Amino acid sequence: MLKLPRLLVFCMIASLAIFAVACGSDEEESTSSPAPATGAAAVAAEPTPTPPTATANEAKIGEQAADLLKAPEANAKSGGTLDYAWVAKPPHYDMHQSGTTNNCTPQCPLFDLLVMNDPLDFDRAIINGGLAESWESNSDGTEWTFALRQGVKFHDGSDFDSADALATYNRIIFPSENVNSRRQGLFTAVESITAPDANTIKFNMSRGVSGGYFLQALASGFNVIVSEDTLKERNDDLKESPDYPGTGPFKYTGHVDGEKWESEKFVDYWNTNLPYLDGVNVYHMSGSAGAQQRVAGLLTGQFDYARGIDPQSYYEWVQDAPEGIVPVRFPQTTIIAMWYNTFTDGSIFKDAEVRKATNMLFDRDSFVTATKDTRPFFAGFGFSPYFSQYALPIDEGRKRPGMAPTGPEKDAEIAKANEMLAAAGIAEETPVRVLHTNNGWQKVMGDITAAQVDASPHFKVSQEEVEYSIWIEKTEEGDFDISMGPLVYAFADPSAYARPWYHSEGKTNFSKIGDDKTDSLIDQIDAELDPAKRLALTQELDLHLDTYMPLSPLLWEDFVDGYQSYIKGYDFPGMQGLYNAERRGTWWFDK
Amino acid sequence: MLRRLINRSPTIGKYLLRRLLYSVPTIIAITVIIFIVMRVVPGDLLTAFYGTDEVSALTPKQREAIMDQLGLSDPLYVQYFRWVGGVVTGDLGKSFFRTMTVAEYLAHRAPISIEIALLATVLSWVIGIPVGLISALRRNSILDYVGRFLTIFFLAVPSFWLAMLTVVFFVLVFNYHSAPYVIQLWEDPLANLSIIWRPSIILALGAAAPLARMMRATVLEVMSEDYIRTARSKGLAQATVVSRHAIRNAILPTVTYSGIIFGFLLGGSVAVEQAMGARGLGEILVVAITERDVIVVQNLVLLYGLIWTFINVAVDLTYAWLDPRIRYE
Repeated sequence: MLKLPRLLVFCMIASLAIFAVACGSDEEESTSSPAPATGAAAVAAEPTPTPPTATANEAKIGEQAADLLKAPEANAKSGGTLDYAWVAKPPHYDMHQSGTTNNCTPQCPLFDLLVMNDPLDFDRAIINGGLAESWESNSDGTEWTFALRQGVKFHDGSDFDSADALATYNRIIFPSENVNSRRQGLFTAVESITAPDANTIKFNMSRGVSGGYFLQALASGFNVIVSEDTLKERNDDLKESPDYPGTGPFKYTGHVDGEKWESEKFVDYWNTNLPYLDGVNVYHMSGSAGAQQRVAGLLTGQFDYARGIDPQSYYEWVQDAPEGIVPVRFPQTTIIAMWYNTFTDGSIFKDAEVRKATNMLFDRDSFVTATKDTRPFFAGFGFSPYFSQYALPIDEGRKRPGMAPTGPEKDAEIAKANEMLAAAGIAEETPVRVLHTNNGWQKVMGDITAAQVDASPHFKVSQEEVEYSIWIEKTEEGDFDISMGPLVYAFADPSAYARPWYHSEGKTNFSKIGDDKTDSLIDQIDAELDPAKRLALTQELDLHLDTYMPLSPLLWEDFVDGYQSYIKGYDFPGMQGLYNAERRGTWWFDK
Repeated sequence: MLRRLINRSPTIGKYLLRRLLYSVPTIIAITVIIFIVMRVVPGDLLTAFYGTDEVSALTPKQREAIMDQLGLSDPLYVQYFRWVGGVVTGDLGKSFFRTMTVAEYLAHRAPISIEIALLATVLSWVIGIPVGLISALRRNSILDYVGRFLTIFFLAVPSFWLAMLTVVFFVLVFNYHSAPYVIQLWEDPLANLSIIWRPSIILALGAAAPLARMMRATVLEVMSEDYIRTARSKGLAQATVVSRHAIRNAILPTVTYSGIIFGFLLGGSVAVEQAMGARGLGEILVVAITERDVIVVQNLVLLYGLIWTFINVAVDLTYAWLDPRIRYE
């Protein structure tokens, strides 16, 4: 009778022993180092990103770097192949028709731009190099002329000249019917482009545009220069051509769909300082399982750089990083916002006081906390991204309507919001339909949004979750009361997002609120050539928007990566606007 | 083997034909179900294809044009018959997201999944059959209890969870992680083995557990049969009794189960492949579902359906090969 229990006990002890062996290393790790912080504690301990103060940087906007680009370290050396763990594969290969970093990450290093951001400049204000050697505009910003570099070769050995730049920009700004140029909207002021000679290209504008904006628009990393012959040979269709030649620091050597992308150093690169690396291999690993593979590969040294690690690993590494691994957090160019239906008959959100009150109901910090383990966000305020040189300082931003921190201050703000709703005549339990996207964390956001609005005695919320493209359609049609979703913008310049989001005729002005002062300020921002005046106009617009609350910015998206500490030559902590600067030409291995 | 079976039972041809005909409605049902499911599950093909930035920049007309280009604006029955017609003529179509055709895509990834499934099946025999046999022959001994505990343990623990633990364990203890892309057996056998060995073992442990329990039960049953007593009474050694009489009869249901295991491992390795970063058919399925790459999902599910159907037929035929008493009428 005793035999069975004894054996069972034995088996249990044996199995526990197996587990103890398996978990042994974890135990050692946690005893030899501080216990990993919880997500919330880690967030609290992490240094708050500090945007540059606008006044310190305004002088740099549009400035041209004096020298050819090179790594900032004096001891930079050549050699080594970068193994870069990335997320998803490119959906197609046409950079001009793409807006996803799934294209830019493997493909951007293969190409040059007419002008490009200095990847070592945190503010992305300085323009450094590119295939234009120098540029100038006339006094009112209606003509922009670029002198092109000579002696530049494409990877197929052909020479670059103004015909290639002209063909590229005609395709981007005046595309044929079959081309969905994604950045066409950045160049609405361009009336025509000409190439007066083989080394010059000229943009003629219908209205004056500032260098701060126009140069940034040209510097969008997707505006890659391709040869006129390539476009002719491939019938203006690059979607299925992974190998069309560029002039960039790396040259395409092959790829396996959905697995890896390989490139090697272009030995005839015009900037003889670059690149330092012998090649770049990008590995695609998507989904949550992909994040685990990226982290595992980084820890074992399989990868030198891992993009998009899981936030929990990031928080842990901020406290106590594994030897040789550096975690980094940086802003993405995505806003999560709330739009109000102001254009359907009988909508309560036609009243600005109702919109302002509703904006105050949102507890931004709770959004950040709810999603911190799946995706890091920064609480949103104002209309310029928090890291932009145009944004108000964070301390000031936190004082704006709706930004009160969770706790008594937020409770007081919500109480005030409810008083405003009562004063506006909003009856109790007024039905409100919240439309949001249904994808992962966006669904969580939608649920929180609905809950926070529903918590007001004045509202009775119903929710509708839809696919992103349907969300866009329904939002454009006004099939919502409040609509919550993400929007990506091309780069952190006010002209890139002010016009589409806030102008009365803006394509993504989903609230469809027109305001004369806003339109006028946007026109002035687009045209103002003086950086200081443009900054003042931007901040005036930012504060003006608070007076009628056309949309509520909720959050700005951040990203977390990890890399081996021997990678040098890049401003990793200041990395932002992936689209514009990530070409890896200056990266080198200090090992 | 088929000739031997036909010689044994002249009706086997008819049986085989009948079984294959029975499979046709099953296959048709699979095509209809997966076709409908892929059109009702949530997900956004346009966003997966273009990204939120591009989708928001597309006009409704452009969105419509893209759906037209992909053939997704046609009535559902047109889409269905176009797909099935393509499959019948050997054209599986082209992935929405890849330059490869679906056939090329499957041909590139399938070897990894097949290798994993085959190795796992073999390993499940190597582990499961001896464990079951020892458990049965040493009934109620320490070995039996340990064997039974382990089989219940591996039955209870989800394979994908074990796979995730294994990844963490190998990273932390051995600083080891396998290649993040496909390396075919014929390109570099050792590197290929480095990709497949861990998922194979994890899957084999899960598959060996029910195999061992089944083996134990059938050996115990066979060992109590009259012919075993007769063999013993003739003075045959225990090893001879077991090897010549017991195993031969006890292994029949085990073999049947192995066929099912292979099909299960081929189709059920999705989570383990994902967790361990092995880039086989499992990853294709997960990624294609995420991207709403319906043509890939449809063809892959159909492939799994075909595999299951043919494995079932093959298992039935194997029965006859192993047991001469079985006749197909």
